[in-house]
Amino acid sequence: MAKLRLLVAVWLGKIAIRLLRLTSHSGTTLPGRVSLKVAPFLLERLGQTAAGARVVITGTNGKTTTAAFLGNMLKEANRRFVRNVSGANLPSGIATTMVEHASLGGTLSTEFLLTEVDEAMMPRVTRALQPEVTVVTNFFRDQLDRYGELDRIVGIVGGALRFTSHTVCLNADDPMVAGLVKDLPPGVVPIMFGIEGGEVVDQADRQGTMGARVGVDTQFCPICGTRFEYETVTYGHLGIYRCPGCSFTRPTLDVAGRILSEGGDEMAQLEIRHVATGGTVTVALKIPGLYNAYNALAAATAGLALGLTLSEVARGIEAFTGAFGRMERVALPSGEMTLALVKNPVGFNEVLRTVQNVTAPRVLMIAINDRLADGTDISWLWDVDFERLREVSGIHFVVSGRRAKDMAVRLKYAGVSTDRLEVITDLQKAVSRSLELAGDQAQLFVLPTYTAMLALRAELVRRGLVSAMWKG
Amino acid sequence: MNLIIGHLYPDLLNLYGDRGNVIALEKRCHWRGIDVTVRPLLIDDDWSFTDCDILFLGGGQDREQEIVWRDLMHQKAAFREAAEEGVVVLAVCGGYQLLGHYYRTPDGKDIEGLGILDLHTVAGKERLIGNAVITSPFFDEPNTLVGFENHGGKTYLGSAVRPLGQVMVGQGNNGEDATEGAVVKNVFGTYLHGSLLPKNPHLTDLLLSRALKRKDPTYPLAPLEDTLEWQAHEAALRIAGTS
Ligand SMILES: [Zn+2]
Repeated sequence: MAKLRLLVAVWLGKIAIRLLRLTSHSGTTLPGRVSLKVAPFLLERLGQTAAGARVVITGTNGKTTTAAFLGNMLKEANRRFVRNVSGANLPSGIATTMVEHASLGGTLSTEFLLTEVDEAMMPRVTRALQPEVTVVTNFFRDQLDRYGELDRIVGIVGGALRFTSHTVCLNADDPMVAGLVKDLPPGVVPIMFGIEGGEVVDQADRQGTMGARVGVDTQFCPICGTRFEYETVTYGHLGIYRCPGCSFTRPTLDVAGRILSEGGDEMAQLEIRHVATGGTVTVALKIPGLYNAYNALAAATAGLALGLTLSEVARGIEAFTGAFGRMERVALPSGEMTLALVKNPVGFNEVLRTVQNVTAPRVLMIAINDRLADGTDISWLWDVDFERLREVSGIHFVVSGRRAKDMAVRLKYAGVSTDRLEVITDLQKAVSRSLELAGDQAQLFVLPTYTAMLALRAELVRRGLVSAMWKG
Repeated sequence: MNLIIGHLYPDLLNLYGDRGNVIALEKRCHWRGIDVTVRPLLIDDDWSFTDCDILFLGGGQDREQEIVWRDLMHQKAAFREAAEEGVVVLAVCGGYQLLGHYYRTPDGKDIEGLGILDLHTVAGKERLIGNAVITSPFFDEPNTLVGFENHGGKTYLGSAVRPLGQVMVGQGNNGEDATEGAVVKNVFGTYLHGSLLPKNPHLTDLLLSRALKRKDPTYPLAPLEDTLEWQAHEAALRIAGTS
């Protein structure tokens, strides 16, 4: 009976995918929802049919990019894999991907199953998949109004780790992630990755209200509650830390990264060292930002755990040019546009750092919506360090979206001159104006929240600037 | 003229863009040529409440809030003295609860507060979350305040405080009696964040004028160009569904 239900679920799901695609919907979650209704055990049963390993990637930031890096590595190694569509990281989205790639006989004819998983859905998904390799990228505050407090998310992910097998790759530089070691079941091996050599912290200048350290979400030991001492910080609360209250310190690294050059207009260079073998490789990152170096490193760690070689890992990283909305470069008839999804202060700060490092004239379009998928509470905009752009010359701002006015006020209070600031609530008009301002001289950066990103993509498709088919 | 803004525990209480409230106070002084110093008041440091003209206390996660709660209990008398003396206090969300008599946890334990505002808070079963609009008797037209609330506790006012306003949209103090916030003397508590002050410039200026009046009763608060602020205020009213 179960087998029959599984088959019916797969067939119905496939039909739903067809129908939605015919009517030019992307259909990334609905088919899975239908299939899961028919066969609630679908993730378990189909997941088991992957011939190789199941990989689960979670964390606040970087899930999609890490999964995309890892996919590229597998491609370079000529291995077959299935990966859920970017952002479709709830069980319905994962089920849709599985159904799409399942045979009519109800098996996944693939080697590796790569899934990015929403943090809150980790228990459900790991219980179903019992992944051989699990990656936790980082924990940052994200859309608080939807999920409640960060500690609870950390607890949920920690609890979900008891269903993992073999290997768990943890970001050693994030104390909340590193602290998950205590949640691993017996026999599961942690592999620690991190970046050596962040900014050295001036112990005298601990914490100002306005300082750049505003992104620091955790400065207190998750075990004993004492304030961490940071030796270095890479970004946000990531770095080399030590708890004076107990023995908790940043673990020693198994896969160590080092930033050889941060890039700016050029590509950043990342050195990756596999401590166990002593092997080292240097890669050029096609997508800027320190957080992308972390994503590359997370993927490299998972790749090595899956038995890939360092050179396959490196080729995979270098072949990668951006995931949906995560620092995506779009060619324009004249010039280029960089599209980057913004959803929390730390991610936004990193994007701003990139903008700041570019020396050409820039147009910065920021589109803030406050729908459910964006987070209805937009107060986080005040935790973004826009002050860093105050003194930077040659930036013209266009703000848009349902909360354009809030964004404008934020920039005004950051010290941005209102002469350089245009408020155009309507997204289509804002795009027109931004393109016009950029001309063929300036670099255009477009920073939307999630639903603004979807609307923007549609607008860019309508203008023929990007094609309707996007691959995750 | 110069003002000192004491930002209490900015490293611990930093939810919901609390920093925006301090930025608003600071900027609106700058633009008027008033010297202003923002002083972070941290756990291991020595500070005096009465040296400050304005104290800001934000909200934090449970763990952080507990650390703050413990620290502030040692300074109960000093904080109360500052409030008595007319130091302006703005406390949002967790900080607001802390100013009351006690907070009753889900298992019925009462945690003592600073007792500066005549109110108490009871842990609720569900979080009260969403856009909020209140009308406040502290202002002539426009008398609305806009913000976002997200709190698990339900706060009940005693007779020695006035509410900051009446709920038009949202839940307010407890979702029952349509009150929001609490005020006594120059002490203002509220659940509204968003950030609260930048898009409620009249409230920011009320706090500043109270602080200035304490130093020099004749000091005039010059008007500012506030078109963007009021546009954001109007947009928030619209999104909350009031117009
Ligand atoms: Zn500790």
